[in-house]
Amino acid sequence: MIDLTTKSIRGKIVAGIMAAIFLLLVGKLAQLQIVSYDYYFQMSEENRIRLVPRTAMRGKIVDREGRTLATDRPAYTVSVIPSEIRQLSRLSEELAPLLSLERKTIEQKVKERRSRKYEPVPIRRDIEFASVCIIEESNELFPGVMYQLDHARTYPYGNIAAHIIGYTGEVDERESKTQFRIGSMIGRAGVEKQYDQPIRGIDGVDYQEVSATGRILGSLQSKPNKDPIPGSELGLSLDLDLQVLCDSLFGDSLSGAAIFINPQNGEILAMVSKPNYDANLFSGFVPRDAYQQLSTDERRPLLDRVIRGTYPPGSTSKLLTAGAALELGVIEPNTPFKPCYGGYQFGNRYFKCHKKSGHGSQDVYGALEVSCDTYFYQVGLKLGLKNFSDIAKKCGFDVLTGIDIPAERAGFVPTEEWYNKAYGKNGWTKAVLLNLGIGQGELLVTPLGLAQFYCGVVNNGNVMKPHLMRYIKSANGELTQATPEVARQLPFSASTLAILKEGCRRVVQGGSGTAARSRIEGIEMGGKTGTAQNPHGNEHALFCGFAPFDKPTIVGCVVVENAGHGSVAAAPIVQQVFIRYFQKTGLLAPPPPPPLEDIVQL
Amino acid sequence: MKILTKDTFNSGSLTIFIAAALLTIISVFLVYSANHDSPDPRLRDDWAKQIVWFVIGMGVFIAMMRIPMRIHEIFAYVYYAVGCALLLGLIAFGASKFGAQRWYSLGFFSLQPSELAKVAFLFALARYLSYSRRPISNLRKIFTATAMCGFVTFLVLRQPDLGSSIIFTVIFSAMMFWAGLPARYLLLFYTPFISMIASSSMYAWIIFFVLLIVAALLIVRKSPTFTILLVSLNLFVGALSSIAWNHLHDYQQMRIKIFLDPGQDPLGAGYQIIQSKVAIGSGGLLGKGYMSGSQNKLDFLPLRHTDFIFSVGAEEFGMLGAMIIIILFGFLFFRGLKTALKVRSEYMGLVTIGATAALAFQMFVNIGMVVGLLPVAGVPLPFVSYGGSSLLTSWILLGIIANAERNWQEY
Ligand SMILES: [Zn+2]
Repeated sequence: MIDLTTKSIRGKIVAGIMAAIFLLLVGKLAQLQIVSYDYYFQMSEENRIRLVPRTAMRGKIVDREGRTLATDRPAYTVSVIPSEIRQLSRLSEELAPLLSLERKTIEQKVKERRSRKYEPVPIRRDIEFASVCIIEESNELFPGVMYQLDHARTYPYGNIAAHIIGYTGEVDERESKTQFRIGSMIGRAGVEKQYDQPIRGIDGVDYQEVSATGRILGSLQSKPNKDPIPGSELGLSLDLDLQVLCDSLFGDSLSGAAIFINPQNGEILAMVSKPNYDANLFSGFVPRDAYQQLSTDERRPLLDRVIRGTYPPGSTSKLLTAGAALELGVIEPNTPFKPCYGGYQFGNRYFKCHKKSGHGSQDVYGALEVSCDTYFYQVGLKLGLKNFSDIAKKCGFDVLTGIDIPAERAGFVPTEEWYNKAYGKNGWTKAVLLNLGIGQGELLVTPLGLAQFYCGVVNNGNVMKPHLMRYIKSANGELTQATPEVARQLPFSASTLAILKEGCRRVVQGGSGTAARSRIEGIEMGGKTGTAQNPHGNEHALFCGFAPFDKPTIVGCVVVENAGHGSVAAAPIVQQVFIRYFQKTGLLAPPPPPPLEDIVQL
Repeated sequence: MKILTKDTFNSGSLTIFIAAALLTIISVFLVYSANHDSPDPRLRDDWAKQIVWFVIGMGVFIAMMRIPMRIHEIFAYVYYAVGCALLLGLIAFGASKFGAQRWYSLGFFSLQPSELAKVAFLFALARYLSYSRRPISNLRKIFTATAMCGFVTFLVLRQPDLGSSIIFTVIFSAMMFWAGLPARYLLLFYTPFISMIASSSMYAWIIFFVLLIVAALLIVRKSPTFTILLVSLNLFVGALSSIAWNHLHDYQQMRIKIFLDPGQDPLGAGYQIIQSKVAIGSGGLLGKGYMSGSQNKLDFLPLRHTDFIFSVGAEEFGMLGAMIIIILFGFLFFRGLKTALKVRSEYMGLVTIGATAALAFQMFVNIGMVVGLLPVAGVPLPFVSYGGSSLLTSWILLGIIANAERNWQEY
């Protein structure tokens, strides 16, 4: 009987068993990897399964009445599978004319792909059906080339709301490392970018069995396909009627920005930046020169002026000057100032009022109504720079509004430190205060930032966060609704706000108001005109308005570049949009039906 | 107590540590290759998570190595009781609430009690075997030890987790053998299983009996009663199982056949094994290159970051890479065996051999599965497969071996 009582024998037996196991494994490995190598290598070569990603339908983007602003339409995409290409140079030569692409572009796209060489690289989206047919017929000629029914993003209204909606673009190699499949579409700007995650859905995969020559034999039985899950629908607060109207009021010649917000909940009703561009240009295949043309256009159509354009607010910021002075007790509504004889002498400089003949004596209401510069020079001086910057900052003029689209820019509030830095300690005088008091000079606002301030003024000092998203509805019907958010509180008491509002009322409703021509029959409205000096050309026209006066449901802010006085170019746009808005809410009688040729071509 | 000092390692424990660390580093690279560009974004950071588990694993290893074995000796039964309680808890509310469940979710980590129970069982059985004064051939001692193993195995089987439950019997057999259990008991215990499997083919069964009788004559020459007992038990089990086999429905037979030979179902269960073999075989001598394995990248390999990670390595680094992994394992187990032989305390020797056996068996079952030698059992490859539970347990078991290596002079 074998004796197992000594340790060393047991050790030898264990060592023997272990050695046997290792021999067994190594032997099996050698059999697989050396003896049968050719066989298994062949098998892995023939294992030509294609992983064909099936892009999920991107969710629709609709306006507040359910009208489609962005949707996916079916389109063919031609892709190349890098691992199946035999000779890239020959392939690109044959493919280039067919896809109306340059050879270089094709080769670059294939070479860019360093990982996942077994998955198709989309080469050309939105290709004509005729080209698809040619590829289909001669598919033996093009090993590794495949076409696929895919989607292309389409924006039925073209230029309308292009900056808001944004556009989509392909995920490149670098990004694909961190988030998505290379070659898939991702939101690049606007709400397409902001809400990309819910809109994009989840891609599926088809497992196709392919012969060595590239012919699709069918789907793989052992691996069921994964169906894509379509993206969520994005409901915007935008009202297409107001958007289209506002866009058309600018026409093709005017540049500028317009924003209309419900001050009570921050919903954006219309938001226009002109000039704009056709978002469809970016949806599928973008010809290089088209993009080049847009990005080098002097009028800068790609710039969203509402959130990224910074302008001096002009007289629209007299509300800020007056509010700050009233709130801090620097002035009373009827504090007497030197009357206006067409300007104000400060040191050895004479600062002009916009009315050469002068406005005479006035209280704060009158000064707002006629927008007397002389009055506000003196208020600014009395207020002091520190007070002015403090209040401007508290009002949020130098922070982001928090709108739900990317790339917003903040306004700018100059401070004493800033002037010291910019001009040196003795390089500037109190004269800057005169300019700041009337909204010229270094204070800069975005149209959206300015609108948000006015929203706060008319909403009892509660500044709401402006937003475009109203709801997100997932493919299975799950609904997420936006909740109004308070961004901040204006540093003004109820009585100060009441004075400011009354001043604004007189601007429109008063006999000598600067925007008296833009009043609306049947709706009491308030507002403030502005004219911003522009060192590069004609002055910019501004107008901020709100209505109905007692409990405003809409605030509009319009900037028309190089258009002169706010009352002439900007206020009428606000007036027209307000009229349409109140016709829709029922406060005004509906308009007569428009003549047929005026209907916007869709 | 200062855990990390200049003399944290001795030379033996240091080489053990380095070999296992190399395996885990290989693991990180293979998991990265398998998953970093996965279509499923949740898997893409697995390699980074594996690094985190690696760091935690090293900490656990050093702790296991530095905490005196005496403490585990004292608390061995407590461990066992806690391990069983956790398993019982899982059966009690796991079954009613979530159906079959094998782990407790701790938020960041899912605790698998069967892994803890493995370690606890190791300590408890070693303590019983080394403390009881009865000789190992004493039937009462054998029975008690078998009951200790049987109970915890039963609890794991109830989850149900076949793969893990087998490991308990392996640990048990290895430790019983190390304690000096006479060979005849081992024969009596294991041959019926072989008889059961061999009975599926008449030839295999005849060959099995020839070998059995030869073995019986060699090992237990002087006891004809035992030989008769052994042969008749095997006859009985074999006959019973072939009768049972014929009473099974076709589909039930099919299921068992596929379990034993996956090649019979190339589109179902066999698919994984076939694809794994293609991956390994097509790797050849030097492999297809890192991150260039078509079987890996084309999504052919199932569970390629966990159970089939070895196939990824063998496809991309060929036989050379596969041999490096196997040699590192071989080195670890060889060191484990050497330590078990060297230590003076019986308790430590048993614990060491049990830990070595647990690791070696898992390696064998895993690699045996992916090369197509063994049925698909769902056992991860120690140190290499992705997953916190498996990696931590591997490092704990290795910490036990390293502890014994450092303190081999102790009684
Ligand atoms: Zn004046």
